[in-house]
Amino acid sequence: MKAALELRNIGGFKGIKRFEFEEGMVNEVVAGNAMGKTSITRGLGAVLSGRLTHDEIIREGMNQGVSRESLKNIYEKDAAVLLSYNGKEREWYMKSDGSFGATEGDQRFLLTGMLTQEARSIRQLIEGDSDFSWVTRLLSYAQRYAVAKAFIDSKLTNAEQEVERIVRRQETLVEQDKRLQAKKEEKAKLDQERDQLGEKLDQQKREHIEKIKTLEHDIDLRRERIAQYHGSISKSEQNIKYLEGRLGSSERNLREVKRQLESIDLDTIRKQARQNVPVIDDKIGHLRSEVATLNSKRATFADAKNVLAQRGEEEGLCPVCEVSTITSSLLNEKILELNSSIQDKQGKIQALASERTRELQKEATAIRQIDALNKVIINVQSEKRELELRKSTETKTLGETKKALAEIERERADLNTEKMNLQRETEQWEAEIHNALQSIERSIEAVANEIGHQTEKIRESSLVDIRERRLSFEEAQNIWHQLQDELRDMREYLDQRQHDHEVRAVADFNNAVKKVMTDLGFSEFDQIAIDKDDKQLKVFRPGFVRQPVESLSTSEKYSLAVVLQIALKETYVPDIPFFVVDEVMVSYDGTKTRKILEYLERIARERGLYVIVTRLAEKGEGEIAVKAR
Amino acid sequence: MLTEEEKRKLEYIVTESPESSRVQRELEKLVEHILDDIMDKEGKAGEGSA
Repeated sequence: MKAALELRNIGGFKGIKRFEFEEGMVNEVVAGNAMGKTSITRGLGAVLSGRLTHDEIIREGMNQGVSRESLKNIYEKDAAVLLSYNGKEREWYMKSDGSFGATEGDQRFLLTGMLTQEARSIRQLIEGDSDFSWVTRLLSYAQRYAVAKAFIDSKLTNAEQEVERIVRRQETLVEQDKRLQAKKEEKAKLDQERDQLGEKLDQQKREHIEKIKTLEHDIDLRRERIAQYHGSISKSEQNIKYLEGRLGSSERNLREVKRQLESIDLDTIRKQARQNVPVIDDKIGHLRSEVATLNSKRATFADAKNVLAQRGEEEGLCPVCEVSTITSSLLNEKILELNSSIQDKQGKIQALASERTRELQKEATAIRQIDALNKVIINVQSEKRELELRKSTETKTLGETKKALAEIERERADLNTEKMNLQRETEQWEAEIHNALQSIERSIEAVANEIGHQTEKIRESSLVDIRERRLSFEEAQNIWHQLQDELRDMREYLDQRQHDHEVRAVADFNNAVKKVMTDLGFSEFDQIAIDKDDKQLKVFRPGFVRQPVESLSTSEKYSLAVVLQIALKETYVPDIPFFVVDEVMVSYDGTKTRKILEYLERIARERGLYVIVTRLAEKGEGEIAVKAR
Repeated sequence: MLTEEEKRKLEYIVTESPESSRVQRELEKLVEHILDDIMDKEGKAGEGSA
């Protein structure tokens, strides 16, 4: 089996260089100075270590020239190392844009697989530094346990920080809750203020309505009274008009009566009566005389008639003339004529008597008329006075009513003005209260929004997100505490395992050192070992006399480094079948070179290793070449 | 106390992860798994008590 190494722009090589190494053999890389031996060893170190992640190993890579920039050819922009062996492909590359990559390797190879002058063990030995704690720290599993422990520690810290964060959030929540309560109190106060204002508004409205009602009632009363007064005034005016009519009538009556009174001339009536009565008396006397004459004639004719009747004669001597003859029928006619004349005369007498009576009664009548007219005048005057009194009373009443009406109308106007003022004032304070209410409502709305916002904030703040789940503080704390318990258990376990591995790593290493020393026949030291407690490399001369590292000779330090490096490779990185050796390291002590190379050949053969040993070319050996043996 | 299963997982992670970053990645997964288990238990306990 062969391993194929391809270097592109690595170290002193420009372009691609390919080398092959035989498995189970020591492969000598022979070249002159500055011909590329170091580039090969560093390329192998880089590709087998892979990406360096541990700070201490990164520094080690820089010390050994295996860092990115130091590995690339200074004239080129990119570089790569390809290694294929035992069916595996490994790659290390650096691109022109500065990006870097490597297949998975074992960065411990830098500390164990490189027996060169840059190796840490030889550097420390040369410097007299006996602190080999890095052996357990960086090479054994103890280091991985330490890494795991550190990681768990960080997780533990995270969990503790989460708990602290929850506690802080709880404290913040208390503060937020206080603020929320304060806001709620503020809102309650505003609600109360609004309710009080609303009640005040209602109360004032009620009072206003009552006042308006009272005013309207008073106004209605006035209106009724005004209507009444108007009725009274109308009635009074009608009465006055009626009385004035009556007065006018009375006045006219009075004038008429007075005129009638004035028309009665009592003296003239008396004088006429005195003149007329004797005339009438004369007429009556004359008529009465004529009647007596007629009665006498009628008695004569009646007697003659009676004589004729008594005589049974129809004719006889006229009783009057006593000359002529006369008949009964004529007598009857004469009597009838006389009766008629008498009646006529008596009628005239009676008429004259009546006239006389009338004449005589005219004064009395006039007196009676005068008395009657005077009475009428008195009555009319009385009525007039009464009417005037009534008119005066009515006029006075009218005046008073009008005055009262004016007063009532003024009162009504005042009440209307008062009502309007009250309504205006009411509208004004209603508007003011409404404005105040609106202002409070706005404040309440703002506070309510703030409460809602803070409540939501508190609700949000009172939940903790753990792995996309929302949990309460208590749940979250419980979970973090449980995780802390788990992590502490893990840490305790890892701590114990780290310790176990450290102890075992030291023991394994020390055993390996002992075996290599035996195999190589190193007898100048009784024991070379790392102290399990202080991790110091301790060297004991025969008789178990300890010798400080710094006091060893240079050749002894190189010999010691060879032993340590082989033991490190055997103990910690046995799986990587490469071991890179700079011949200078093994040839420093000429007496041991042969033994070491034979040992390397043996372990290469026995374990199928690719042992690569760089060697300075001797004269005539020419270009760089790999020779397996 | 860790269970034997958890110890085995830890050992596997540490011994089979040559790089620290891988140890951390694997441990991260393990811790998340443990956290999930705790949350599931807690969730079930919560449901039970609810």
